[in-house]
Amino acid sequence: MNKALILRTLGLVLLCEAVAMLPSLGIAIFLREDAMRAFVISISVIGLIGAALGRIKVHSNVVGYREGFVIATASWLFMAMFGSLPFLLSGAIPSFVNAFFETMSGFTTTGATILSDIEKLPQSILFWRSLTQWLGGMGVIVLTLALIPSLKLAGMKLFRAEIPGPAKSKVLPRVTQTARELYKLYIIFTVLEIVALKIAGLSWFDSFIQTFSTVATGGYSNYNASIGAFANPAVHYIIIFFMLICGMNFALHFHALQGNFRPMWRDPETRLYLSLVVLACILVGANLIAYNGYGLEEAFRMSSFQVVSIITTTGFTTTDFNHWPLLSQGILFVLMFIGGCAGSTSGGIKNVRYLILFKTASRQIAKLIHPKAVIPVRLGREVIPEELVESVQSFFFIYFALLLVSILIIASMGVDLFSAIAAVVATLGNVGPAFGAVGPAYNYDFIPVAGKLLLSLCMLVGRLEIYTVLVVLSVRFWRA
Amino acid sequence: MKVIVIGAGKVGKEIATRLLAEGHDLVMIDKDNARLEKIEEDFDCLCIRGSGSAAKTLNSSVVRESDLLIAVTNSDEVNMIASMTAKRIGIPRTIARVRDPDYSNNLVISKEDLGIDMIINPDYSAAIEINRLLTMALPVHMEPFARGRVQLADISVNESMTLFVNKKLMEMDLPRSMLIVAISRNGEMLIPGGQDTVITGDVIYLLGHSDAISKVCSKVKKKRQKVHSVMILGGGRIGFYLAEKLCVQGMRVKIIERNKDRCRELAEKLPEALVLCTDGSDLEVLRREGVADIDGFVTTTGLDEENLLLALLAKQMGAKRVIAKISRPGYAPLVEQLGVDAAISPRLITAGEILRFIKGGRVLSLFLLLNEKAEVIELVVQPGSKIVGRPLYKSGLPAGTIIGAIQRGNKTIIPRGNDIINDNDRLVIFALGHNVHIIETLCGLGGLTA
Repeated sequence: MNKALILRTLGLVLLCEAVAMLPSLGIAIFLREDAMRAFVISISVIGLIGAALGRIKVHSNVVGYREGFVIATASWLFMAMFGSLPFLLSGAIPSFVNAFFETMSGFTTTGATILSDIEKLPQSILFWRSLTQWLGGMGVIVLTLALIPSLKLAGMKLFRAEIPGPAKSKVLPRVTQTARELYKLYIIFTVLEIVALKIAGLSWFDSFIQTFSTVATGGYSNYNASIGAFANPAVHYIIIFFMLICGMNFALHFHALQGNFRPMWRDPETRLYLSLVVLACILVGANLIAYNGYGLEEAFRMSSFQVVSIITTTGFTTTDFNHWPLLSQGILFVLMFIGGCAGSTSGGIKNVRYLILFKTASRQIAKLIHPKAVIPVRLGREVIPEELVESVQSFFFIYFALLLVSILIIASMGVDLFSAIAAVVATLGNVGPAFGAVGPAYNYDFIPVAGKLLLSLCMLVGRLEIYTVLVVLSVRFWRA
Repeated sequence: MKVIVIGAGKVGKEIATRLLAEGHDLVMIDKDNARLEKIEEDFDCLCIRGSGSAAKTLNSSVVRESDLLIAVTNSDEVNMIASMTAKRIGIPRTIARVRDPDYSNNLVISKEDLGIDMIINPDYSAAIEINRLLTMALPVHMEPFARGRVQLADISVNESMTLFVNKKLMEMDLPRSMLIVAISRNGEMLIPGGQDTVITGDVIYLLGHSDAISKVCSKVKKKRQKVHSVMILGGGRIGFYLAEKLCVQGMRVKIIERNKDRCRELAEKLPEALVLCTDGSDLEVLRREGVADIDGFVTTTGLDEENLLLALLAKQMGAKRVIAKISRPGYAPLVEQLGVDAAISPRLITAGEILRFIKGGRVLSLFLLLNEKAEVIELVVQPGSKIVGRPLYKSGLPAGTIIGAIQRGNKTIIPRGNDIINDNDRLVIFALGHNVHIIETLCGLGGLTA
């Protein structure tokens, strides 16, 4: 394994992180907050380590599969570890495990928090907390690739390790070009939402914070009541809209922005995703009107906000859905397993995997009738290669195996079973708030230290689409 | 006319035979020495060894002075390059075999850009023909002439057809505007007279006014049900084209193909069809896949014997209409006797297309009957030709020639011996193959060989 190259790449990733802390430092200086000191130290430490690693001499620029997996996993671990420094040093979150959990939850766009009173944190720390989500949304390696094209890493191996979903996401011939185009789109959405929220009446600071979490489908807000803190329906609708489009494949947005809407309109995954959203909204809305006595507009707004927030794995809330009727809670719980589209910033299993599994299952039935039939699995008109079908099937198995094992471990720590299930589903799917003791009105603080570390791992495994992390953890990987 | 044929394969040879019979001068070009030697032995033509796509080969005086180039090597690319080169060096007309639909359906480069006047694709033509046979409303083969006003139909006679069976032609109660032009019996072609009797197992050829033909055909057999399901044996090019056509029409299509990779390819390209990867000659497979209830069964494997036998087998198992692809026209006489509904020969169809093209506007349509002994041609009588102005019985037409219909303006006449032909009449003529050029000379089209 090319250790020098791995270390150098990690160094460059850390340098990017140090640069990313500068705006928070600026805010701390501007507002004369004590956190200023924390940021100065963090930036120096991270910058120095990054620079030192970045100067390592590399003899060969070849990235094999193994290097790719190690770089991806290690980058995220480093980002979360060093990203927690401001929380620790400023005293906002004194315990390392808690700070690590909070940062990992940020970078993986989960949005699960251990903080019970968010509002008392310094503004600069809140800004950093939300910025981690924005950075993690598109992926830290994609960011590094976009910023440092000289990295010239043999492209797709790294790129694929990070971009969610099994679909192809390359829109331009070169990986660095693709990474930049995706970031361009990401920034366009970010700017649009900030402006929209500002026009709707939020302060600049609030607009930035909510936007960072929305476009990354993360879920960190700077208010204890999440988006429920804003009584303004326009804000809710703007956030619903941006969550919805950020849960869609960015490669399709890329074509759409060039005036070519056909790929998006034709895409079976997008169709499934939007149909599920509409169906869930109608069911939950009707359920709320019937049982909770909501008015039509409020029922529509509440149901669509929560539905879109959960299916895109954002985790924003405008109300505590723990008090909703059971049918509505059940629907939200199921949506946690589904997630957004491949190539988006959302987490979860992804719509396209369900489509592939459904097609595979119906093929199995057809094969019982015609044993010799050759039936390819199709998405739209495109044929899915058999390797991908197998990979999706294994993905599904591993996902649920991890889920069950983690639930057992968390439950064994004394967490009640329903909350344990909800916590694992919400972290592995990068959703954030869940049900029961980890519902929107509560937080993850009460879970024991080992549980927090396990859930942090779940977040990372979920964000990197399982395989990347599991490969690095496998015995065969290190023996070969 | 001087014709260059590039590629001395099966199709090339078939074309050569026909062109020589029509009296054209022929130059064959091929890369393979052994093949050329064989050609030189069998045919009276000039053979040149070399690549058909190389300017070196084509840019010789013999080639440059020719009137037509036919490129039928097994490589589409070579055929296209040969046509382009031919156009550049001044050969007025070119025909190229292009089998890959990616080329022939290319919307960016038209065939004119490539210097090709006519694209032939034997497999595609065969698929079209099979599709036509499967979807025809009546259980007879019908071929339109004179813009559809005149039709040729062939009917396989069985005991139940009291209209024909064991009757002399003169006793039959047939509409006046049609004729029985030929009878095929045990593979032999008979030109019947009034005293001849039709027996079970004959295939009779009717030529006449479309309305009359339709009336007789519908009397003979009840209207066939629409075809809903078709099973295709062999997933080669013909099978693929056919399946594509049938799927578009909303039929349920099953393709049985042995090769796994080819199956995968087919399944990818034909989302509506069911592709089965198995041995089609396995009876158990055919039975399980419901051959007994199938409307159409088509065999398109590479082996004539397998095609014929399996078609026969399927017929016995209950398939309603079976069609076999055969490459060797020598098997054709067998087909009718065996009970296979129709046999299709891509080579024959291609040869027909090329001849039609060569004859250009003068012979309007031409249809080769399967066993090639007879042709139905359609032509316009040139003013002042020998045939004009005389009653038919004195016109000097070769024996066995029947003028099936005269199209004069909007009128369709089924002629008797006393009728007289005028200038510019459009004739539909049934003739034996070797007589065709005599008839053409009589009608003022004698310049063909020039």
